[in-house]
Amino acid sequence: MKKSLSRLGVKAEDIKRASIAMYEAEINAVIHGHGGMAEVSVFPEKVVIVIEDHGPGIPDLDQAMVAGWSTAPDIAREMGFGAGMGLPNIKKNCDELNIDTKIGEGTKVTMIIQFR
Amino acid sequence: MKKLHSVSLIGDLCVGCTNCIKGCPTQAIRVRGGKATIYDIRCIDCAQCIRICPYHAKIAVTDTLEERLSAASGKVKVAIVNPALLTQFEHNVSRIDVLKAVRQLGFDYVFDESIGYAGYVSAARQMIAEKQEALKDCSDDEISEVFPMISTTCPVVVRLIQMKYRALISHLVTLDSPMELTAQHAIDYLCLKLQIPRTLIYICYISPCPAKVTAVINPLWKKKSLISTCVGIHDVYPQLRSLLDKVTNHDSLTHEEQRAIHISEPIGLRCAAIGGETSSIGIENYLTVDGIENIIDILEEIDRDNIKNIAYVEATCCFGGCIGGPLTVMNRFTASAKLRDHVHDFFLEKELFPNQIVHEDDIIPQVWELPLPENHAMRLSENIGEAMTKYEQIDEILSTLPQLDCGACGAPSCAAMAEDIVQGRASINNCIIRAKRNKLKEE
Repeated sequence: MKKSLSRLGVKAEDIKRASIAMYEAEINAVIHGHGGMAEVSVFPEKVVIVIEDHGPGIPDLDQAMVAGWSTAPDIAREMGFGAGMGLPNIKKNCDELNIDTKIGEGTKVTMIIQFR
Repeated sequence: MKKLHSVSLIGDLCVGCTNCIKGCPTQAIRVRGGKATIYDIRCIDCAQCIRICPYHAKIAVTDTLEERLSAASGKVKVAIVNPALLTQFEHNVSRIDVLKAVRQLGFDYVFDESIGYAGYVSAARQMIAEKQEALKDCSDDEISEVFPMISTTCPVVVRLIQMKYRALISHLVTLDSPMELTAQHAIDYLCLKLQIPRTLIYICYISPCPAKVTAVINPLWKKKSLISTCVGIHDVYPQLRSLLDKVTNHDSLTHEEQRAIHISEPIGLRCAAIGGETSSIGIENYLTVDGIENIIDILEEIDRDNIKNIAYVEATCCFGGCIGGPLTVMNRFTASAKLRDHVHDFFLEKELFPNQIVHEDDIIPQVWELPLPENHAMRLSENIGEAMTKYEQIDEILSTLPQLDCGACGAPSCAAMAEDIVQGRASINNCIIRAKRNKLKEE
């Protein structure tokens, strides 16, 4: 995605925001959602990233948004993930964040980064 | 059009093979009409093509010394010598011997570029400490905007970041280069000493690589270089060899030579080899990387925020540092051993030639005159809508290409070829594999 956005002439700061948000959401989908699908759509004024998994879903979204809150398993923490900064980091780097989650069905994270 | 770079092609020697297009890290070369051509805007002067070309058709354009010096008659002629030159001779040839011989090439004054390196590392040391202090209470995100700081002594690294890692521009050490710092020191010294205007000083840089030559012709962060002209180390090597054979007195200097020759302390000298800069800065949490492909790997990592707790990255395009430059003569391993000898011999130089030594505190560090502009050579169009259309067209064309990346069309890969077609720089008929497949289908 980074290389594509760069070829399209998107500014370095916008690429950075998009890649941080996407990276964090991917990690979440892998750690909690047992993997998933990513779809990136580029428009002249924004990039829309959708990451969808079919994992357990998020029981308490407000709690999950709190910096430092983590339910990551030890194995993820041992690898340096799961510090509880994923969702807050995503929120900070996108202009719009929508999380659609259902217990037992999965989570769909939609992130919009407007080009500045 | 003004030529922006110093890497050039000797058309007669080029046979149109595809070695260089494959080796270029920025995909700046195409074979067109049976000859290689370089897209100036994408060239970062890394000299991979010069090293790779089996026919020696790629050269670095430098000026011939005689022509230049005769054009500068009436001026005070100054040589600034990249310290890699000092490592190109036998074990019994001292640093002072080499500089004496350089003077005999027709110069009035000779300054070892190590002087500027000493100024650079001491200013960089201070800059790192200041930034660490300023960011002490800041968040990880704010720290990762600046750290690790990236050395700017190798112009290839700066050009690569300017084009492909623009988010890392804020990591660059904003100090003027060692050669410019040395030139500034020479100018200040001579203007004061000789009471002459700056315009009467003619400075020639003896370079280990085309990148530093380009940094003189087309500077990155200043309007105009202080250096007037450049020659490559290998251009002056044969003449220096024969001059060095005639050196008899190793332990003293004539009055003239005493006036003319200026050297630095080991802190600057060490910088000719990879690792020298960081050891002279004297920090612990550093990283050194050499070779353009390795540098790309590290820059990718920094770009992804994966490099933590590293304060400084010393990166040189050439393996081994400047001693591995493409315009040097000796191999970098013997050069590296020779450099250690020179550093070690400093205690002798200090005794024999104390007046020739310039101390690091005597160098006034200069920061960038201009901010570094971004280079958008890799983007498809200035207009994002148009870029998106082109992007789709490229994908479409790419799906009809064989994806063998054979290079026979003159582009380094099918993806590069697809882009060239969309940008109007190539025709799909240049793909011989596709043409052959189509022909077979017809039959």
